[in-house]
Amino acid sequence: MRTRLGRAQGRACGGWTLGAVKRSAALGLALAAGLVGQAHAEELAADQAAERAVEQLRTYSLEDLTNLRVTTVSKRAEPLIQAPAAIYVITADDIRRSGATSLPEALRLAPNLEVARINAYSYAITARGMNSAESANKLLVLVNGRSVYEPIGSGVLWQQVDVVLSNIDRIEVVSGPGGTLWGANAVNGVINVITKSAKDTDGLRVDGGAGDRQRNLALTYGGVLGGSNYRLSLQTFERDGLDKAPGDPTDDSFRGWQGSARLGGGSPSLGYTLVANAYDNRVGNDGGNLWGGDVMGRVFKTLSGGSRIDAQAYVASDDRSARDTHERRDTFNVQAQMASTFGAHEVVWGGEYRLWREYFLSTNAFHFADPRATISLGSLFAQDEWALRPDLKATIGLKLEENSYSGLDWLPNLRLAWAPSPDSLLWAAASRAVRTPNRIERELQADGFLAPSPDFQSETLWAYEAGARVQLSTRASLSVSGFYNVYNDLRIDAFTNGGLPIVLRNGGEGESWGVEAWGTFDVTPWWRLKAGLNTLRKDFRVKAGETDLARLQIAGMDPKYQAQLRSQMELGPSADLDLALRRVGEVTSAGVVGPVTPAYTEADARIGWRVRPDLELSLAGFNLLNDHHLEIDDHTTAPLRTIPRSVYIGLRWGF
Amino acid sequence: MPLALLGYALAVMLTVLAATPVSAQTDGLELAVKATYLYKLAPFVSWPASAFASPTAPLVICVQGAGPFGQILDRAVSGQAVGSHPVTIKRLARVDADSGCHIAYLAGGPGQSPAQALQAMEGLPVLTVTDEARGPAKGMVHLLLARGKVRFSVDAQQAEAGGVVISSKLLALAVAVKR
Repeated sequence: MRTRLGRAQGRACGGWTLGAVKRSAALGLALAAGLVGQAHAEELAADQAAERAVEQLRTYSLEDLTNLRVTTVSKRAEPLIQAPAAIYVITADDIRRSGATSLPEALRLAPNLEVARINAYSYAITARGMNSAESANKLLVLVNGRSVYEPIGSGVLWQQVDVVLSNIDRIEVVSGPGGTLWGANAVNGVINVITKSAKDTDGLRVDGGAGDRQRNLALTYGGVLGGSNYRLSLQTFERDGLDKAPGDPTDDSFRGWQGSARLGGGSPSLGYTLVANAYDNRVGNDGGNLWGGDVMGRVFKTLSGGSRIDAQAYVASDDRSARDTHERRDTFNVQAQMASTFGAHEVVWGGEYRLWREYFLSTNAFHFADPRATISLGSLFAQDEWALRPDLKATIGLKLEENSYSGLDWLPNLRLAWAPSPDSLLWAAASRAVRTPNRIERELQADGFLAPSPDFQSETLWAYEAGARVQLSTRASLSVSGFYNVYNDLRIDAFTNGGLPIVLRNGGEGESWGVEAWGTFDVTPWWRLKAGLNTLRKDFRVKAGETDLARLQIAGMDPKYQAQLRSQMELGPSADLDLALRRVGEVTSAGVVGPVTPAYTEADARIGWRVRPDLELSLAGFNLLNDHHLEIDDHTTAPLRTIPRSVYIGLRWGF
Repeated sequence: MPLALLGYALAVMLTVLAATPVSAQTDGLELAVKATYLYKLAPFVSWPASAFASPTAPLVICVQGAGPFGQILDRAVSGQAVGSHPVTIKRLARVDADSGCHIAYLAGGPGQSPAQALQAMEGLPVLTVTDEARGPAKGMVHLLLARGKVRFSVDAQQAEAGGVVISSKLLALAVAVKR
């Protein structure tokens, strides 16, 4: 059953994973203010961070000051994050040093994410469990505020998310529901990809390379137009198919191009950004074509009292065709929010509206009665950050969400942050999040075998979390967080009255809990170590009186632990050496004897040489420890692939 | 309801009109580090005896022009002293020989550019501090960003001309020294 449905869903969707991310979120500025989702006046935010910083910096010697990373492209160095959430920031420099050439590979840097590569183009990525191509449906992924989830199956099609990696300013990875200001479906986590503003990238830049498994080239050019800054980018890539079993005729090779233009300008009190993207990717020789584009505009204005208004709108069109399916999706989205301060209260409130016009045609047994559907969602939210005392802040938030499938949902959120000293922060949070039904769950049918499920409701989560962040010394910092998730109404496949057709029901429930920890340690001024760890335990079950024909496939396939260690060394003034070691525990599945995926250890290494101040050459090796290894075995949706060892020579010019 | 939201969002966007182009933002941590440098440099600099009216006279850090620090500089130096000299802040649109500065951060402004301020300070026992983010003119100490860290270069020639002695420790920490 599981295989049939899985394959059905896979075939219905062209054999690729599907993602659901429902709501565009607040802008990355939110985190600069130090509290998740809080969009303050940029100056106000910088001032607050700067105030706390000068206090801490009093104890620094002059030498310490010369060693302190302010990282030009990140809004803050790790020790000074104030958010009451488990948030990890991947900086542009981290990405460069890791040698990653695609967004999913860059996400491996976050110790609070599970990243499993399925094949050359496809990944299963989640936070806090429930991973797999089918069940990774609880992640909100945003690129510059545009949500890139896919309303058919509630997942993220990573092969349809093109970003020029060298344009990324930072990636904020929040594990857990994150907070009121993030969108619907921010259930297990939020990934917020923020690209550099046009004024930070001027002149011509080239970022490219070639290796035995991939070739990439990205060109960007930035300049000034009137009083604004612009940036034009063009990138192309090619990935060879990964290792497969002999006799397997499928081709997972992947290539594509993307072009984008960005225009931005303004002052600290009034500004705008305009972004346009277009992309065209191909899988295999005839495996499918993904193409589309989007246009996004954003404005902000600070008012005389210090309040700030942010508004954003985008229009996107994505087309995906494979052997027996064709999907076309048009997305319209507007959102706005206002942030103000009233005494000890920092209040943010706003709303969002999104409309999808979907067209999905399938020529196999699994189809929708009507290829066309219009799906909408709207939300209103408000959040108050109340400074109870100078060192104690409470955040109370509520979001009301309405979507055309399941009506109204209430999403409350409560967070507490206590700073016992300038160097430490303790926080705790309780929140409710929902994963709303998607098109497949509601409408997919195969005559006689699978019926549509109009009564399928949202899956719900109550998340309880707590954490601590400490600057142990001028050289070391540590962040630890723990969570206890209570899920309800999880999806199961059930018979109707004991026989076919199958319908989907909300018959599952369960709990998961775990710990996430990461830290940095500056062994010497030129050698920094970063370590990360996450653990996960799950207890999922079918509710009384229910049976799941898919055997709790929704619970996903997750390792009990993941650990990583990175070493960043500066070898003299012009060379970097980066080493990364990661260990992922085995993945077991209910009903299967032995591990579905064995535990593995892998290592990457990269050496970069700055030949001239504006020219860097690099040599990298990936997955060095094994000839090849398996990361996830989900052959119901895609043929099995193992990830091979590979090498890569890179070049960056103009940076 | 969706229509109302849509209307609201559009109204907001329409009230936000044409931008006025202006200066870049400096991020919070970078600003904090630069503010800290301004007083942390002082122990490694010697001024001629005539620079201080008395052993307990204040050590004055001047911010010339459109200083980006706001209150954080005052917060940074509150309660600080260099030897027996308490540290105070003075904000001026223009600096010259009568400004009474020991350290001058030349941010530049409508009244005086950093280059003009440097000219006005030439030969005076004032530690001039310029900032790469504010312009290319280089004073005795020039703050810059190198590999993600706030560093500085030193122009020992200018210091010598002004009668300001910069210790070798400071010279050692500089990314470049112009003699």
